[in-house]
Amino acid sequence: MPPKKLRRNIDIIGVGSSISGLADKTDGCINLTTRELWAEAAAAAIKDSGLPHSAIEALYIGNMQSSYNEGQYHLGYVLGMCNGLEADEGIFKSAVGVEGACASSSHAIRAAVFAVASGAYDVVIAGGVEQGNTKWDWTSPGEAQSMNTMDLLTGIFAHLDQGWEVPQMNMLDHVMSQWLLAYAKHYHLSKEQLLKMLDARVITNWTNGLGTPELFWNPPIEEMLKQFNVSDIHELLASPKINPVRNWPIRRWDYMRRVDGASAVVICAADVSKNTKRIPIHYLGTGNALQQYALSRDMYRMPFVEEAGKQAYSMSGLMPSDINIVEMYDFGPAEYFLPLEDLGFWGRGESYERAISGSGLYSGDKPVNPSSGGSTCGCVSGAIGAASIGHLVRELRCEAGAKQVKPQPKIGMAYDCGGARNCVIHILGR
Amino acid sequence: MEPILYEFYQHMKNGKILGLCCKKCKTIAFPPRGLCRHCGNAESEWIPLSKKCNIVSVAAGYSAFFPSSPFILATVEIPEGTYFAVPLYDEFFSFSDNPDCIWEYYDSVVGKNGELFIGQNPAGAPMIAVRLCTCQV
Repeated sequence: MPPKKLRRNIDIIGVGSSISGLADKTDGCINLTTRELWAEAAAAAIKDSGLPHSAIEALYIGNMQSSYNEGQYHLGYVLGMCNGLEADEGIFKSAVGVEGACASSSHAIRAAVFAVASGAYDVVIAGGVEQGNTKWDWTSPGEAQSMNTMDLLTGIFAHLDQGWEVPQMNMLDHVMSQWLLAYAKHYHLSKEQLLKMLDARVITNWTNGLGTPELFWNPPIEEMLKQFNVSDIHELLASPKINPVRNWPIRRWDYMRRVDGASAVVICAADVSKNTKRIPIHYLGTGNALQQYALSRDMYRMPFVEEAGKQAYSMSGLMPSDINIVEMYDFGPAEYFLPLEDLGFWGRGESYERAISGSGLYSGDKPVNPSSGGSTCGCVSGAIGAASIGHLVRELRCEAGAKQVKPQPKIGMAYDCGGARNCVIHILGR
Repeated sequence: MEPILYEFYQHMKNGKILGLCCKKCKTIAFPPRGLCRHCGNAESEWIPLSKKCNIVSVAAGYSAFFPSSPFILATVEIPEGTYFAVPLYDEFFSFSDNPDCIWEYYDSVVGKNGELFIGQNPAGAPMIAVRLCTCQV
């Protein structure tokens, strides 16, 4: 079968994000709902594109759990009125919500890309929004109520198969732990090497996040050591009191912090972007594949990630060696190391050496998450894919400031995954 | 089409672990699905699955969603050729003070044979679990 191709050349012409934080705790975030978060991100992306609001023809909005946290489904309808997309007096342009757990915004972006590639539209806005840390409903509109742990978890774990995984106690944290154990055993890592590899990822992500003021959580490592009265970063990460084990080998800080926020991208046909002043970033390829409960005989790899990568490489006509930079939705360490190898960015079995040698640093030879990934940006579940694309676009435009990868990358890849079993890949280039 | 999910759990309540076998290509769906995962055929029949399995991988610890006690989750392969994860019951495994005890335990059980049985999850719903056995798979 011939490779699947987009029927028109597609560019990303604008990117933007809202503030991120906790809607019940963070200054500037208090009582923000999906409406304001999305409006802020959309306005930023449209401004960045240099196009007038009137050029936008449709909205594709990704979201994971607004029906749980805000009692609000039909998010396309609600947020379609928050973008300045009026077609006529009180009549709005097309707007549709897309859901794919943590990959919701990536699915929305894919849908938007396909809509432009088909010729149905020339310019669309897509992305994602999540307000998953507080609850409100029609009885107290917009008043963010804090949630207890079980409330939070019920919202999050609704992405699992409620007919099988939850009643059968197939918890994602156990599966993530299985991946790491199987990986370490397959490549004959020692227990100590496995933990060193996990430490190295955290340190790499934290280091990549340093000095970027807009990140949700970016304390300098020296300050962390002082705060916890330890002398060494490894001592800090190994401390069961400070960094308790969740599911060995995974510890608290190996996971992301879940935050609220939104990210948007403006997508257009290449014959539109050539008439603008903005540097267009080309959308070259995409892939999507999923796997039943993400389980296989070989738990040291993720076959569904390999399949999604294969589709994206085929569509783009590129190879793993062409990729200069990767943004990962690394909710945990397994979702960092295994996909990097499955996508061919790092070689099979190379993760330990690459992690401890700092390959993934923004200044490293195979940069991963120069934005810091979710470790300091936070996991804005329904928006994380759009945020990753925003980071990639800035790197490819050479607008990433202190975290600019040098030499300026030409090709970037974004990995996003819903529930750690529904993978979306995007490949962008300049 | 019959209510597959409901039937599946009703069978479990009666002590049976059943999958759906496609009448056309004989692919077995477990957990059962409406259309054959391989050929898309809608006609299938319930068949009892082997209770013998091979343990492919394990992990252990607490789950925030089931916080009352830690448990082992094993990925198993059944002779019918499918994979799924189930809690592993092992009276000899201790969640000691060393959370890394799973490191050695992993080597001691992966590749071993197990026997599936029907227990209950913390909510009282039927749940498939596995225990180690010396049976042939």
